[in-house]
Amino acid sequence: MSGVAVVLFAFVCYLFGFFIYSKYLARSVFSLDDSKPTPAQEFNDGVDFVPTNRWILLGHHFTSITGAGPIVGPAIAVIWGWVPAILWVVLGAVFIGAVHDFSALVTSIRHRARSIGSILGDYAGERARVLFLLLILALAILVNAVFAYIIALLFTKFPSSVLPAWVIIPLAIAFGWGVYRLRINFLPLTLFALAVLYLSVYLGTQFPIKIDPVANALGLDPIMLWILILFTYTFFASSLPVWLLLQPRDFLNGLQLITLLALIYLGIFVANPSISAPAFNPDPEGAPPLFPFLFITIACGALSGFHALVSSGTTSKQLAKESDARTVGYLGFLGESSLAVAVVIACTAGLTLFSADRFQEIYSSWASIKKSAVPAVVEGGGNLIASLGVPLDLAQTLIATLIVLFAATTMDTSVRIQRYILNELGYIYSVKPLKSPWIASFIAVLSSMALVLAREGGKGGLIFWPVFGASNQLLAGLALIVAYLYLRKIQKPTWPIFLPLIFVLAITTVATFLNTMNNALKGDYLLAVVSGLILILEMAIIFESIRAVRRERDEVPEGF
Amino acid sequence: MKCLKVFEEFYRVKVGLPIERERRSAEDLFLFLIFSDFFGLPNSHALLVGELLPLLLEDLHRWHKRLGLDHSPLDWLRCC
Repeated sequence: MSGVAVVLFAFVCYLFGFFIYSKYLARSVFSLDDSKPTPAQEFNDGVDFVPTNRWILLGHHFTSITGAGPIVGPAIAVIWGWVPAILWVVLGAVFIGAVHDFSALVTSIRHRARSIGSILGDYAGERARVLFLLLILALAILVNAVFAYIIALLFTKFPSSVLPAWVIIPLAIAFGWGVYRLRINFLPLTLFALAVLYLSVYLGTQFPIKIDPVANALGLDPIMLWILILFTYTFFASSLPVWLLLQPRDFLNGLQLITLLALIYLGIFVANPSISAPAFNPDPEGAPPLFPFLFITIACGALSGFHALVSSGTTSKQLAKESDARTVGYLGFLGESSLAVAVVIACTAGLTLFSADRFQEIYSSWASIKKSAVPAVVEGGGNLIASLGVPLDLAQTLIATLIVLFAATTMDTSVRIQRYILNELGYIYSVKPLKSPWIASFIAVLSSMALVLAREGGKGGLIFWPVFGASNQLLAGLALIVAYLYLRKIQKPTWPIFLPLIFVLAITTVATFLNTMNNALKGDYLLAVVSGLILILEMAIIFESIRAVRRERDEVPEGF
Repeated sequence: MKCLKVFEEFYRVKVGLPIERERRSAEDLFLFLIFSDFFGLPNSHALLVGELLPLLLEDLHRWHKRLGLDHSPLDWLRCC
């Protein structure tokens, strides 16, 4: 099968989703009405609430929701064959993921741009809101544990990416200082930052940095040492003001994301590789069953609950017209899904571009992909970009650096989120130490670090990925519950939300139950406990949702 | 030229607004310190900051609008 044909199939589905299905959702389900003022128009203050052009907002929203998530999940899931992975990524995005993002955005603008967590509190009670906070906390701990491992792995496998990945830190700080304090125009600064970044990628290939001698002298594994360094860095980075590092780096990352997507797709069309990897591989060695594990392994790219936080956080405050929600919410998600499609092609067709057996070597067993799934994206994507005439080592360094940058920004953001939640819990339950930002950050970093280092000194960090996927989808389930309750309230068709909701809750329940049982039976108690905790949260969420629906049904209708 | 405008707008949404938000929180804290008497906190610099008040009228106006108050909450300082 030709890679280009797969891309065309995906884009035809996206066109159907955007031009037909999302139109149906906008007109008949949510009844979007441009005559109703959006919160951006109603409370326009020029800072938080700002009516923004929909294409600009799409660019902002897309680059905020897309990161390393849609790269890691599909890179693992192709072990079950590329057909199930592509079908879930594309159809999941059209009928579930994009619907989730779109409905979270619309629900938020219809509730004065409030966050999904706060609206959930109104509909389902305070307990549901605490569950929401706990789920985000679990998500943040898991994502940091996994991403720290992935960065450490890329640094050891591709030492050429070390220099550019660290160069961007002083560069972003200089950028932030320049625009915020010195008030220099952003354009020359952006050009300067990009030039230095690309130069550092080139210099990285000339001067790869390995920390093996230091690690050996300390008696540590290089991966473990990198993980320690990364968490130390994240602890301090997450305490800096957002304008100094986080925002400028996020801006530069956004530009890189668009560049990466363009390069990989251009590579696919120029090289036109054929996919020789197995289309369907139901029983890979040591892997859990395809059903339901494929669905929780690929979360970002097909469905991601984290997006509801962005949709109902900043995006809903900037939507100029209700009908723009289709372009921003629905199309924004299809953009992320297209990155997941590119990754599937890179890990199958791209990987075998120069060596036909490469896929079999890398994806021989579940145990082997722990170390090779993410490097497979670098290798496969590098091959595709190399077909454009870019030297292979430069292409690989570029991709490895970008994955590191996306993952590092997510780590920084999620430690901040953990800190806010711990602070809030500290105030709710009057736990004095949790009120201190430094102690909260320390606990946040320590919990993720303990989790990743407990697995073979950090080397088994990727094993937590399916649990992360499950909790991310559970969060999506919560946002879908809010949208469902809202549609019931305004008496509109609920099936486009209800069916995905049932599907998501059923899949995650079965998958986390099997994960808990399998690992407990295997004697892997750490993974069993982590998975079991998510299962308990899941049960509590299902119970709370049923209670909310029953309470709403029993309420006397307004006007009686 | 149009591309440049789009890029500038993208930058404003991506970086400009979050930075503006940060700046505003710093300004809010400053206003809070200036008007701390109003919140029941003794302000040992009340006499000195008196000179600043005319300069802060515009900020005060933006601040109370943002809080959802139509008029200034301070009886002795009217901005609108």
